[in-house]
Amino acid sequence: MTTAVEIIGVRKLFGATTALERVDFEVGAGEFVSLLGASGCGKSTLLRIIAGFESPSEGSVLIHGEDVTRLPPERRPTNLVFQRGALFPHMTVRENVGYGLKVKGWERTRINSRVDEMLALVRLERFGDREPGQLSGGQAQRVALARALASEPQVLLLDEPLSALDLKLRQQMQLELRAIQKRLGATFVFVTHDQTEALVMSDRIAIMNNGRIVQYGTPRDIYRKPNSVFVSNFIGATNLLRGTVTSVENGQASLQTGSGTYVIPAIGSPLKAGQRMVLSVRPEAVRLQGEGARVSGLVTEIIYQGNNIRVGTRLDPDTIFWAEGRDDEFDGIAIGDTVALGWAEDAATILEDDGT
Amino acid sequence: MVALRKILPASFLAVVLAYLYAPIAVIVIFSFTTSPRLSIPIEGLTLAWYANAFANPLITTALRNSLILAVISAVLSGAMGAAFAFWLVTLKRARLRATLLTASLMPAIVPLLVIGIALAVFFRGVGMQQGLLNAAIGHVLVSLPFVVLTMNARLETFDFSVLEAARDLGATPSRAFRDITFPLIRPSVIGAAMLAAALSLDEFVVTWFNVGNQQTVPVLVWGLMRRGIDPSINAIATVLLSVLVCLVVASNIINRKKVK
Repeated sequence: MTTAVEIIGVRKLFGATTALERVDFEVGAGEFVSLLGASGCGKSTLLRIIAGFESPSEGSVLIHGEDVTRLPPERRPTNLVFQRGALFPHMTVRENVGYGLKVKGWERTRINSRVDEMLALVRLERFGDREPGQLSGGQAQRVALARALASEPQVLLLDEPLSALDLKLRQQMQLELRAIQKRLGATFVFVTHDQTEALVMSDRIAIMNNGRIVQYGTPRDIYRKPNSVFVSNFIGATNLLRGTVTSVENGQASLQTGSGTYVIPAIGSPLKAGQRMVLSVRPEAVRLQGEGARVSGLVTEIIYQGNNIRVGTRLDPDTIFWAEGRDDEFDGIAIGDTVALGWAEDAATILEDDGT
Repeated sequence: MVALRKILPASFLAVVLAYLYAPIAVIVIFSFTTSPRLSIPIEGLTLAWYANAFANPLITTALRNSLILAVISAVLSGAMGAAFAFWLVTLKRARLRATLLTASLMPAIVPLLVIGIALAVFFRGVGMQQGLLNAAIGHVLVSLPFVVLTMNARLETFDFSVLEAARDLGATPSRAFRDITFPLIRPSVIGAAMLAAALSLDEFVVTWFNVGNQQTVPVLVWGLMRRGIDPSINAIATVLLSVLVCLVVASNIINRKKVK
């Protein structure tokens, strides 16, 4: 896989505040990569640095091996889909989509056929003569996508393009975007604060926090093997059991927490007695269990979600432990019952307690 | 009681409006009456005063001068004010932006007398003869703050991401201005320019101190008034009034088209 985007040691300062701290990051050609993080984590700044709207205070940006750090946005082989579309209000849909080609000096017939192709791609063939003001939010974003893709950018950048849409439309557009990306074999860098969106669409996700990329991997890796408490909390829901390692022997460690002591595998890991660690267990890995149960407590919450049910069990005054499963798995459980819960050993992740 | 409570505010409103519009109404009405004096009842209607006014070469020259000044104010004030306001709203630091905006609006509250005298003294200092050019410089100065103010109000709702989109699609900054910015702000610029023209048309104080022995409509009318009330003045005033009303109304209509 060749590298489409390469970010080398990029820092960005806005006055006294640091938006990005020495970020190193690469995106393979044809990959769909999401930059995921809460607002203010630096994800949009990183995207705008790739697009050329911000220049890094340090470091460089390479696109297909070419250093573009000093190039203005109009001379970069990237196009950006803006959060609110940013369609030109005084032009029709066709003129919007064809604008980049017109600027590049294409002939009119060639522009026309390319615009037709793009409108077909986003399924808006009949909307060519509309004005942006006459489009719905989803249509406007599809036009913005068509406009950005028309000049075949080497990298397409998307700045939360779906965040203004309602849930149903957003889910539909997620699949559509992903399908278009796969069909064109294009490289997409997608900024979002919505973890589900990132999981659904991406080949790889870069999770950002405080101007750093804290983990970069496939959705499955990130979900199953978060490398920090922050990531395990940020992606999906999780149960966190905080405690201190009391002993390490025979490839097993004991973690003493407020709700009891847990045995955790310690083969090949540098666990030492006295360390503060956190055990992270995904709710969907938690099952009702008779034998080999690891925790037990009183059921205090039952949340029915239709396809799923979530059951909260109080382990100690500060800890509610969540289990999630199909409705029928928890048949007959009521609030106030005492339940015993367990999980497969490899479903739990042991993480350093970073205070988050 | 209930009836009174309703009538009182209504009649108060009527009195205020009458106070505001009566003098104007009087001028317009008497520009059409046969009697050369302001007298009631009206004896008959005529357009003679208009014919009189336009037959007077002094008046047509003054009208021409006024129009020249209005066009200069519209073009220069409109262009300069729009450029300034545009640059202002792109400033990132909010406090600097507010300070510069206030600074550019200040001249609007400096008494016209002070501006008129200051300009006259300045022009004499640099050796510029009084005349239309000096008056034009004064008119631009007087109308510029109002252009900046209206342009700023419009541009605050301008979505700058469309400019970034144009750059992103390959347009150089000047191309983006030509294709995107200018077509989008054009209605506001024209509206503001018309406002500048309107302000210029009835400007008297600054003109009087700087125009020398040239005449503009307000200066001429003032001169005529000193020799007694000539009903032609009513006619000129009515013409001026209609032009101004048209300009202001047109400016409002154009400006109401939102900067998208």
